[in-house]
Amino acid sequence: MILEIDLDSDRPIYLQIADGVRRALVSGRLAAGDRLPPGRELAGSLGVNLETVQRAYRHLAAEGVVTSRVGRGTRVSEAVDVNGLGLAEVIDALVLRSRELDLEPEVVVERVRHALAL
Amino acid sequence: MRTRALGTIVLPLISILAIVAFFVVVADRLPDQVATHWNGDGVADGFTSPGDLAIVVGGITLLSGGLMAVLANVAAKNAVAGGRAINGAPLSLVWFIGALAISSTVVQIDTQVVPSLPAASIPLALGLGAFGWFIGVWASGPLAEVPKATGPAPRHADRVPLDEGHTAVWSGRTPRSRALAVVLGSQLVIAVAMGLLLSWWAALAMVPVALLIAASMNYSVTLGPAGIRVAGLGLGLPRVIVPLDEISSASPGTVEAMSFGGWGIRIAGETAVITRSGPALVVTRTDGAVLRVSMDNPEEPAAVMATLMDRRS
Repeated sequence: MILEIDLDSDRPIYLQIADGVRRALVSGRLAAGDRLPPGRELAGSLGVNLETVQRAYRHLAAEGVVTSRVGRGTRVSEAVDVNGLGLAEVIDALVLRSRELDLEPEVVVERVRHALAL
Repeated sequence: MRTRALGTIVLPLISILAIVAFFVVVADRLPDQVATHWNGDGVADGFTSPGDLAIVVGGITLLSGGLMAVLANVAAKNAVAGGRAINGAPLSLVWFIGALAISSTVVQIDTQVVPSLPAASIPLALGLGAFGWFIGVWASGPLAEVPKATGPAPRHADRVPLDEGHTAVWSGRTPRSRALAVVLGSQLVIAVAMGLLLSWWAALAMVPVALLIAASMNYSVTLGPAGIRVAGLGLGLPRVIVPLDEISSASPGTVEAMSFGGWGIRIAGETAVITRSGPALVVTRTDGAVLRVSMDNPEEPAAVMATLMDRRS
């Protein structure tokens, strides 16, 4: 399995790792049930902190993309919605941007709600 | 001046001479029959004459320490894994055996009473063995610097397409091992047989061995811009790491378990992680050391590695 990671982007590294996993899913290089590399090994071979990789895995787990179980490692969820992954990437971007602009979460949610209603 | 020769040859030899000297010096003060072997209850059941003791103990330490020294200096030379830790083995073994022999002989000086094995003998020997290992590794000094490499992989190597500014991580596993499963199964049979015939304590002693074998059955292989990592699945150990800037080539090849004397992590001039004979990823380090890792389709990781090497600076 190949994960491609965009080093030039300004996004935090944990989000770049999450992007790499999503891209691999969209391109079919990664499929439901596949095992992700053990966190320590991915961190070591990328040259980043273990915590950064764990954060990326937690982020993906919160989206329902992967599930982590003790003893079985981190795997792609059986119920992963590959079509919805593009949306997750856009939401990440929205969250980052609204933090940069110091926007209250309620304001962002309200604006998204308005935009969706149009 | 810490060198491998000091840690693995000179210090063990000095220790052996000191041990032999002890037995020569005390020979006159020992009983005609020195107790040298004890049964499980600590009662002496084997005896040696004082004159032979120095030769026997000297011979055993020389043989076992020498064997470890050969392992450290020949088998582990240019090893990618374990190269430094093994340097402690010769001194550790000599001190362990020496401590056992001396501590059980000291109590027989100037007496004709046949003693039981001193309670402190085994803990003392284990402690000195561990300390000797530490000293041996320290005295052998750090491993030789591996020359750093920059720039592209060999021209003929295959590459994978990768956008400018992107990097890639390849992740996979060694093929499932049938041979090791058989070995583990036979360990279980031996353990049960030992339990029934000898004692369940003896069977329990097989557990660490079985765990070690189980840990060497399957490995994750991860390679990226920082290098290649081969790690036991589950525990993450044992582990072999080669940084990207120490790699001179990575190519598809083969590995034969029999030429390395079995499966698991093997050191025999080259280092190998073998779960199955057949295709393997072959990584050559800048100092000429070679790492072979069992792999069903080594072409893909080799191509990813070549692509990453092209981009290293």
